[in-house]
Amino acid sequence: MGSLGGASWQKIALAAPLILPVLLLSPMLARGLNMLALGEASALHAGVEVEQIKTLTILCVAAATGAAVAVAGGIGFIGIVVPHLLRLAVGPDHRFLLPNAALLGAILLVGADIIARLVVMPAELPIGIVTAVLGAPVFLYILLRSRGILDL
Amino acid sequence: MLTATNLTIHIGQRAILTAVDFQARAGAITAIVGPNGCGKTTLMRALTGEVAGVGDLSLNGVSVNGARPARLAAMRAVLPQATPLAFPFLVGEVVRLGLSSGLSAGDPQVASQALAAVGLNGFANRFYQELSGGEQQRVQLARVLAQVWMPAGPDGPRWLLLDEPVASLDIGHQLMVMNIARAYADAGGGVVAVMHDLNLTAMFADTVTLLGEGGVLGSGRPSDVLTDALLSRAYHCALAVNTPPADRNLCPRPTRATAA
Repeated sequence: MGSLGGASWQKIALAAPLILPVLLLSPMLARGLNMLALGEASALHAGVEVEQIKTLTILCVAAATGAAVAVAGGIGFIGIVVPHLLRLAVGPDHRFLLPNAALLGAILLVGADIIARLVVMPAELPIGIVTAVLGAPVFLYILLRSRGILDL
Repeated sequence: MLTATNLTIHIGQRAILTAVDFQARAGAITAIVGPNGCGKTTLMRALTGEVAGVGDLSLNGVSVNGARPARLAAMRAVLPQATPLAFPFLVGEVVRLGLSSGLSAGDPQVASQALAAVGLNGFANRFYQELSGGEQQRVQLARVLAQVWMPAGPDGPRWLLLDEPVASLDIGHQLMVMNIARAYADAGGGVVAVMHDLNLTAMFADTVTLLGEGGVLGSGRPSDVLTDALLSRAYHCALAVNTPPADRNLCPRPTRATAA
């Protein structure tokens, strides 16, 4: 269920070369991803190199997620809740959504880690349990409240 | 000039269109009509470069199949029959998506002007998903208009390719959309529209291409193409033009081309 218990600078040094380039590259994907929200055909008509954007996006996601999971283990719900929360808060424009999702995801993960270390002191709860217990109701709430607007 | 020469398109094993010649000129509305499944949308997809066919296809002298998407996007915008939209975009954001893909991207006024042109003034901060189907379709038209806002530029005419632009609209908004197309063509741009409504086609189109039986049945001025014989052959039913309907039919039709 994942844990930040074994965090060390060495692990960060191993993951950073995969995660940092993706964070820096993500604004370049933003326009293409915005257009893809209209469907692949419309994105193509608007001048987006659809296959190129899709390939690049998949590679970026695989690299960054793979590195994060290799270091911290599988921690659910952060990835699915954060972008939807942000779409309601700041809108679906990927130019702002991508960097904001990285920031809010990190904030929520640190918060969940604090809870995981406090609730069963001196032991440590697997952090994935905390994110699932907190994340699932939030996700359900978002889903039920604004299904129409989110087009889920 | 948008020209297709000897165009043949297969989908799977089946030839949808065989040896089609198609021409549209700037400054005119060219309508593509024909029965369901005759290949209207397929022809439109070929004209946009979305479906590759065998044959020559050029837009303003640029070969459509070899061109980069961005090059084509600067010259023409495409309105699909229906546009799904994931995520809660605001109407203004949708229109700015179109604006950012064209050559008028530097002018922030265009988004609101495009919305005003389709009668959606003041809708910019509404959620797209909250609008009715007809309103959504007009938002998409505004997006497409914003992409090619200037009908003609130093590099040549721009083009609107519209796939059934009036399909989900009431009669007032149908006329409004066709008048937008009319104004675009009059300002030097080119308009190609797939149409189902033959009366609107007769009212607004300068040139009509009638598809059927896997090819072009007729092409030319509406009065030459929309004839009893050709229409009956294309649509497989007896049709008569310029015949008043039987007395129990109520047939509202616009009284003049500029009605809005």
